[in-house]
Amino acid sequence: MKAVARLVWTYLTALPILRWVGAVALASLPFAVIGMWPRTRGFIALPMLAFAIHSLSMTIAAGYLFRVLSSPRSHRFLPHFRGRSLAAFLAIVAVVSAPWLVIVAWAALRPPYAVTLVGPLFIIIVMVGFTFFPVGAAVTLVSLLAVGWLVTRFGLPHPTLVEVPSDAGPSALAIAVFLLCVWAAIWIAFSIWYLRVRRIEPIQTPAMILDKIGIGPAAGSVVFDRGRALEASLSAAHPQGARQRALFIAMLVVGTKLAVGAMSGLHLPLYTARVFLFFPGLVIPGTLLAAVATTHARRTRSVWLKSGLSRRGLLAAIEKQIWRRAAPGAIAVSVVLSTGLALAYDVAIPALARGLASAAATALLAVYLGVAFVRDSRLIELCVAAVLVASACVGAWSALSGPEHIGLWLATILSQAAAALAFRAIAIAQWRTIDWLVFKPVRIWSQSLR
Amino acid sequence: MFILNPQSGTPIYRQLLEQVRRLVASGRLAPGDELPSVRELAVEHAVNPMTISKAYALLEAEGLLERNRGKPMTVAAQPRSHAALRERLRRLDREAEQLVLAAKQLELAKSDVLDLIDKKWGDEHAASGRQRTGAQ
Amino acid sequence: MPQAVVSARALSKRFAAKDVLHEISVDVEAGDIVGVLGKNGAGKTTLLELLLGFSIPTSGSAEIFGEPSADLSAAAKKRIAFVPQQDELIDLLTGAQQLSLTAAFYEHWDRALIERLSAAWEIPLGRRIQTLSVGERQKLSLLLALGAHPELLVLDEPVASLDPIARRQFITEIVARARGTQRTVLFSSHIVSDLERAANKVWIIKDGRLAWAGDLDALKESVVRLHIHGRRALPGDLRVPDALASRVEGSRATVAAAHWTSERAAAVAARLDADVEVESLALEDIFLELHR
Repeated sequence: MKAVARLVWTYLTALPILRWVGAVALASLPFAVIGMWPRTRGFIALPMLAFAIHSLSMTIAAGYLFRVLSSPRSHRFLPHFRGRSLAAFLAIVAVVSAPWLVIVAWAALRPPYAVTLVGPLFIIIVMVGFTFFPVGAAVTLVSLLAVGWLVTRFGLPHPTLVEVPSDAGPSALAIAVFLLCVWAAIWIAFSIWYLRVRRIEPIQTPAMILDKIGIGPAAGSVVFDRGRALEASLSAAHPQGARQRALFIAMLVVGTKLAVGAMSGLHLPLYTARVFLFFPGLVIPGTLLAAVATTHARRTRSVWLKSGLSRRGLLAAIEKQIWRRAAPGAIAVSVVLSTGLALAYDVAIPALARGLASAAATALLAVYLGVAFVRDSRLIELCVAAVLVASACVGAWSALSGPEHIGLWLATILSQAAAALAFRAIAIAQWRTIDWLVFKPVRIWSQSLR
Repeated sequence: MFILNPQSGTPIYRQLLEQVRRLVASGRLAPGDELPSVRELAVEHAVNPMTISKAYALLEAEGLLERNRGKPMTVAAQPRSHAALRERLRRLDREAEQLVLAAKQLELAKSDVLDLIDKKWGDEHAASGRQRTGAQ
Repeated sequence: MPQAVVSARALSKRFAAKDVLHEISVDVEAGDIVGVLGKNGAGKTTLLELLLGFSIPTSGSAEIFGEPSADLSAAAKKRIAFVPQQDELIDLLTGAQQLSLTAAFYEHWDRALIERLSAAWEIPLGRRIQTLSVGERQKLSLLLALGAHPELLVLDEPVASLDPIARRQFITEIVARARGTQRTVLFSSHIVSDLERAANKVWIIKDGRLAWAGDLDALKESVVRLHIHGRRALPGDLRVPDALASRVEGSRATVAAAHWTSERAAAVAARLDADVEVESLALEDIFLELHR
């Protein structure tokens, strides 16, 4: 039991991004309390969104982590590891699916929505499957889409998982129960397969897979000058990774379009729609800059001798690099997403401008928070993440909520900027004694795969 | 030419010392013969060059080798019989020490030990010669 | 007195509540090849990284080329190369691209040497680093350090994942590049046989302290194992000077002792009324005796 609990904890904290998102979700709980008052009901959107993002990240990561932990090289000799690993994984799946199950149960009393809400449970399966069996899942998904397209093209009758007539009464409930049984059966079948299969190959990184299908950085000779060499070392990225980055951005744009389309079918009140749609674009890119900044900071270890720079010099180099490369990218993503959505949803330009200003202030704060904390402490990381995201959310929400909240928006932006300056000073002081013996790059991939 | 064992309890330089001495004493290395350079030997045996040059320096100090500017070390010309004898005797130094130590522990007289040596040698003239001079 | 290349004075480092290094004072002279030996967790990596300035010591000082390690000038850093225990290669690059990346940091990069060694050591340079085996990655990391011809080369477990052929090639290269006082090497390794070949000085780290720092030859001449055969049963307390470990069984005893001289052999033999056989030890056995 303890072993399973420890494994569950590993799932929740294995990757920095998961720790950050989890911290954010926890930090947003006070807003849930505030949201209980009728006047400030809107605030409940924040924790809902935070937990939704956490759920999403957890689902995607769980499949991947499960695959990594199952590969033959790691933990081969621990007793009952397969069983315990599966138990921990299913616990995570249960946690992630629980909210939807509750919603389905609640909606079963209101027939028109019952079956629609079973959909997300299957989406969870798809997401987990994708990260556990990337190639297999991709093949399956493509074939299903091809079949679906053929079916619609030739007008064949097909079952819908979306609409059920409102006068269907008990049969809607029956269908919901049936679908839940199918859902459970899929998990049971997977568990049986997992416990009996002899060997699970280690996962290939997305970069390797993309490389195999020809979308990868060049393998020819690359000429580096000192500046580019330093950049590449700090970001651990290929200087010619443009093709992969372009692919990522294209996926982001397409994904947003799909999400918008899906969301519009849900008939949410306009106010909530705006919050749900705009928040990710305004909050996430800026916040992720903190992760980028701290990763760069950890990687300065590898250039301490080669670059000849002093500790202060390395901090200055990171600052310069982030403001020249990562930050403009993040802000551009925010601009692209938000403007696209604003045009589709008829949001006032001043609100959009305020939102983007908030995103910029978040980015500024994120960068200096990321470089200021150079002690290897998870607790500090979590607190920092919580503070950052809370301020980002407050700023974005107050920007979009209309002119009556301008005061709050201004106060948030100014305090973010002031905090950024303060953290810059802290960073300069902390970097005088940075200790690379403990402050090292996070190494989950290599540890699991070797 | 040399067999060097880094894992031995004897330091490498000492192994090299002994082997050069032995080769010179037995005549396999004649005066004027060139020895491999420090670097060559170090690379061939994958050992630290400082240990090779330490051995060479000690051999040079002993007079066994001589340094030539810009060229590898060569075996020094030396009165052959004198050097050979000196060298050869030095070979037995350790064994002689152990023999004397053991004899003293066993509380044997020097004459008894010398008799033993004679017996081992199988030289009866030496034995009778000693008896004549009355050594104790 | 020529200035030491690397110098530590009462160097101590404390993590959480644990003393990882305790009052280490030692010098590396120009031209030395120093081997650092110690159990896992004894503090080898911490010592090497403190000497290079990756961390600020809790007390004491570390200097390289006369400058404090935590504040090395760019000119001093150019003369140093370090191969860490965990490699710092960028997975998405190919070997050749990683080499050009590192070359960009140095003014004098020896391409001919790199070409020769990458062929001799069989390092595939055209494939992405993430597809290389652990041994190939380690060889590539070594190559990245050698290319700049550093005056001071520091290596932390550089050959842990290499087969014996590759290790011999590496040692041969280290030994071949030694140029009097121009090239100093400091490396830590578990593989004692490599140390015995290449090093002229040895540091033995035990529980964060320096159990020995000095000539390898002197160490071998100093630490010996005595096999004592007494005529009668031997006393439990043999009182052999500087004994490291001893085992007595009736009239036989085995004692490991340091600072040995031949006079001591005679003295012990006489005092114990026994035969004393002196066995000189290989470095691995010396290490084991020091840790008994």
